[in-house]
Amino acid sequence: MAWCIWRYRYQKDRKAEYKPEDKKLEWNLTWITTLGVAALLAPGLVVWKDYVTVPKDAMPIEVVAYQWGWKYRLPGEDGVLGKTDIKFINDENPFGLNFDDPNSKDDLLVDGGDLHLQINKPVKFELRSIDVLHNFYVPQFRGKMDMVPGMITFYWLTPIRTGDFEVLCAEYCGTGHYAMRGRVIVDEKNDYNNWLAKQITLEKMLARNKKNNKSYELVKNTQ
Amino acid sequence: MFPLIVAHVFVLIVVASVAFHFWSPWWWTEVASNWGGMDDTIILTF
Repeated sequence: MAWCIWRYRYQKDRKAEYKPEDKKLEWNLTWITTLGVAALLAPGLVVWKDYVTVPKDAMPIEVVAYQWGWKYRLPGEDGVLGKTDIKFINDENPFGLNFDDPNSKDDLLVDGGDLHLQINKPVKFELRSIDVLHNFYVPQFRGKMDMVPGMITFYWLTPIRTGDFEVLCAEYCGTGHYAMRGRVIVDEKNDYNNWLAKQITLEKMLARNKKNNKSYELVKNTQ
Repeated sequence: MFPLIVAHVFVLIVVASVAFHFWSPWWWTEVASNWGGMDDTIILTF
């Protein structure tokens, strides 16, 4: 462009040529632009295909977003998350768990604590929101996805290094949006299993609450 | 004279923006998942 400004500058004895149409030039520009845009976009589509193709051995982890924080639910030994429904959500059952679903009995509930992941183990985040749009984003993991009330969206990843990472909400969700943070800690296998052993299952929690003559109450994670 | 100045300003903007790309004070956090491919697609647009 700089060269054209100099080369075709105004000169008294020179006159611009009137050439409103040039089919050959237009076709060439169209093809070159098309190929350029396709070359930039195609690699993204290859990565996107990986992103939406969840490996079979990925462990499901539910992330529940609310104004303004994060809760997590992990499958127990059965590897399956119990069913939930919006109609079950209330102050005593903030996850909206279906207590009648046998798969939910050994689910591990992490409310108010950090999420731990095991290094080199693929996980599938199943994302729910109980109020407005949110977005589960850990910058170091690169991936993110909107959380839409009434839907379960998902993405997967494999952590490749241990560390302590910050979770951000990446979709404006009200006045507390900036403070909607969390922590994800990627552990070696032993540390991860130690953390896992400290988490409480739904069944144990219900039994304990019954014993204490309390209704359903989530115990804050002290981690 | 004026076209010459504008042409020089344009060249300066290009050189400065490329220099800023390499010497900017911002950097990407080190990737911690298998999605290094996402970084590659961004680098590609550069």
